[in-house]
Amino acid sequence: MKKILVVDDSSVQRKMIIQIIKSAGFSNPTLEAEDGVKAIEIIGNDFQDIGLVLCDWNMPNMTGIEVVGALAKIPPLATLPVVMVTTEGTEAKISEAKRANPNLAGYVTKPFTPDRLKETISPILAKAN
Amino acid sequence: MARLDFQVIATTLLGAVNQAVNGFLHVHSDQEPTVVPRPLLAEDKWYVSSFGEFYDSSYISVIYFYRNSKDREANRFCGVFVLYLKEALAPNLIKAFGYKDTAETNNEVVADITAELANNIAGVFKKDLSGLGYPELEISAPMKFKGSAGWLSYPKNEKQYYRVTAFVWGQKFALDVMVAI
Repeated sequence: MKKILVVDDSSVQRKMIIQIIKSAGFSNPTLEAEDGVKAIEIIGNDFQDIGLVLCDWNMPNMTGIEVVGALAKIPPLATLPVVMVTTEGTEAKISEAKRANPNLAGYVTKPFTPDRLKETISPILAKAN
Repeated sequence: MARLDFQVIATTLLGAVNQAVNGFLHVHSDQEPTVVPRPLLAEDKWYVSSFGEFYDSSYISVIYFYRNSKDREANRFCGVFVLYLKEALAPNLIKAFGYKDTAETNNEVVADITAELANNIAGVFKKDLSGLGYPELEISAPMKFKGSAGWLSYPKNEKQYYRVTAFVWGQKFALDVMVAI
C-alpha cells in the first residue's frame, strides 16, 4: 500500500489531515515533513513507495510552491500525485501552482471540511492503491 | 485607491472568523462575533498583552500583512493580526484535536492550534480582500506567544484597529486587526 506524505509546518494541521485520511477508511502508512526541505529529502529516499503528497504552501526553509516546482522538473517525480492544502485560495495562486507543476493533482483551500479533503484525495488513493 | 471603509472590513473579518471557526475548529460560534473600532494610542508601537483583556495568560498569535511579495521581502508590512485564545479554552482545543491532556502537551499544542487558527482566519480575510482590490496581499507565518507579544510595530499615521470578539465553547476569544488599506 502506497504511503502518504503530509507536508505542513503546523503539527496540528498534519495531525488533522492524517485523522481525516484514516476516518475516510484509508489505512495507508503516513509520513510527515515540517517543511519543504524535509519533504524533498523524504521523497528522494522513498518516492517509489509514495502514492500521494499533501503539501502546504507557506513553510519555512522551502515553501510548498518550491516543492511542487522542484518535483515537476525531475522526470521520475513529475507525475507523483501532489495536492496543495493551503490558505492561499485566490485564483492567481491556484494558477501559479498549476504553472509550477502542470501535473498538480488537486488544490484544497484552508479552512476545509473533512468531506472536501476526502473527495479530493479519494480518487487519487483509489488509483494508487 | 480609496481605503476600505469600516463596514467592508468588518463584514469581511466577521466572515473570515466564522469560516475559520467552523472549518478549522469544527464548531460554530456560540453567538455572532462582533467587531468594533478602537483607537491606537501610541504613534507606531502597540503593546500586545492578554492580561488587560482576559485577566489571564492567553495564547497569542501574530501575523503580519504585506501589500505584495516585494513588500514582504522588504518586511514593509501594512497590517497586523493578533489572535488571543484564553488559557481556559485549552482543554476543549486539546480534545477537539484528539490530543492527550498532559501538562507537556498543553502549551506546545495549544500554541500551535492558536497559530493555525490565526493562519486560517488571516488566509480567508486575505482571499476576500483580494476580490476587493487587493489581489497581491501576502501574510507572514504566524508567530506564537503566551501572555504577551511585547511591542509590535504598525504603520505610522494609523489611528485605529478593529477588535473582533467571538465565543466558542462558552469562552470569549479576541482578534485585533490593524490594516492600512
